[in-house]
Amino acid sequence: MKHSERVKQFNRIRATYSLFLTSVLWKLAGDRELFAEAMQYALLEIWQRVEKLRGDRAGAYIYRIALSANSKAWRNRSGRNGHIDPSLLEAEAAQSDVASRKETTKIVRRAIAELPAQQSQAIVMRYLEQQDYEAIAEKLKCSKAGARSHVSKAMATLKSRLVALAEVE
Amino acid sequence: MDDKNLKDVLNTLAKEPVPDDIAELARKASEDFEQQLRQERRPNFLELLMKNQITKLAAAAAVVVAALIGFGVFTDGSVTYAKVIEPILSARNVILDIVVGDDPDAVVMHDVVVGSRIRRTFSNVDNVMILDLDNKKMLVLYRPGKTAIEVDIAGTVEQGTRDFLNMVRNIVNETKDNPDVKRLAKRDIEGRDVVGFQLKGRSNLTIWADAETALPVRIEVILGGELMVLKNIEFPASIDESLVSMKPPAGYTMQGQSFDMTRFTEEDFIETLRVWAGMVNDGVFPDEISSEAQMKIMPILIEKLGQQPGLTPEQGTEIGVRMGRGIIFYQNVKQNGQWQYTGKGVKLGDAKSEVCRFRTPGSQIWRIVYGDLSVKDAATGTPE
Repeated sequence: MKHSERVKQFNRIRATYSLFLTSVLWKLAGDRELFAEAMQYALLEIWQRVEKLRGDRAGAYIYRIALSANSKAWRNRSGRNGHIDPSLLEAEAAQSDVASRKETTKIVRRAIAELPAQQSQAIVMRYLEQQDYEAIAEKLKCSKAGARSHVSKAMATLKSRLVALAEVE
Repeated sequence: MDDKNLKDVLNTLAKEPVPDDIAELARKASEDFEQQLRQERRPNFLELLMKNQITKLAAAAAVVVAALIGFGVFTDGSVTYAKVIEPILSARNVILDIVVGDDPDAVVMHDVVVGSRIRRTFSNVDNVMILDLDNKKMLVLYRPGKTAIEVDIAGTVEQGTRDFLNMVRNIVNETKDNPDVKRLAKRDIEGRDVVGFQLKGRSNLTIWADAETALPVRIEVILGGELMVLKNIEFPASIDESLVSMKPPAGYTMQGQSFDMTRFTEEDFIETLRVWAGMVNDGVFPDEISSEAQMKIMPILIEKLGQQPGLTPEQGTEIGVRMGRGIIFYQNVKQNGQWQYTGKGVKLGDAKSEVCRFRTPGSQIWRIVYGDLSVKDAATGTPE
């Protein structure tokens, strides 16, 4: 595909999915800098895969791109050794309920970013986007029962990740 | 955390509205990215350069030296931008790793830069390349065979490297006039506390510097929609000059023949396909053609060349050099002409199956390559 055609296609995708991307990435990041980084990764990934983002499959692709971008941004934040930069948590360290809730939310976000791709997609679709199982099954290309199973397994993994993270923190 | 609490948190996330400033940030990031794609169109050789792994490496080294000329001073915190760029501007000696893309399995290129000479090694092959930009020559040391090869790099490879430096300087200058420079929060990179500076202009450039020493440790550049990461950066006061000597080390045999990396033709590309499918990929055309994929298959090529009975070192080198030229030809077509690849799984020798079709820059005629590597003209670019 010619460069100019790729740019046009990129713009079509950008126009169609920008609200979705912004909403999902913000819910998953909850932090301005993290969001900006995830957004850059998502745009870069969309550009690199622009030829494939056509037709009915584009939506499912964009989902994967958004979640992968979010995971990369979180990985950078956590550092190679997986430990989150303590200075990033200091601001939240006040012992009020609000701070505690914020801290919990941050840990949940981080745990979602560390889930395997399909599981994070299931969690995001079911709980953050509040889609029904039929829609999830369509995106994950499985039956409704399969979608329920994915969500259930994802929740179990998320809970175990949260336990592990709570121990680290 | 029990089920109910977790679901409560997830519900909170679901209901979280996007603040206006975040929506604006997203809109601007998206527009900037698109703008960058439009502006990144370059003269042919430079686009070619950016896609070429060999020259990209030298070019990336140049980024370290030239990227920040002309910037002002940003005083926010103890590590200032001026402190960060000082070693970059003054360094004659630089050591760094370069990775193209963010694939964890990507080939890592390691550069030792001493003035206009660069010693380059790769994570997946046991070769050393020494580029002498002033004399437009490259010395390749094949360590397992103790063989030295001289390659003429006048033209695209040498000039492209220098022009890349100018391009980066231009990017910086444009950013200087429109300073959208942001200091980023402290972060941990491989056990070091670092602070970041993000510069937006024709490209996105992020520099991470050690929070204590202010020395740059990582530079991320997005150019033409491709991410390049420069890391493990050091600025040693001195480097053993013998590392970049154009004389082969003791014990090496210099091949009598010198090789040419100054021209890139369709024939080179066809030979690249022949070797890739026939020698590397067991008689089948690969899933994709790209410079990154070519880098990854180099160890297999070297191994297979070593297994060819009766192949002289000169002939083996000629094949390697031709593959490099063929890839540069392909990148030129992909970036500046038109390109379609349908060769995945096609068997070498299959005269009926199309492998790829392309139009060179400025040409009206499409060239179709079939599985038997015959090439025919066509008026259309639409595959059957």
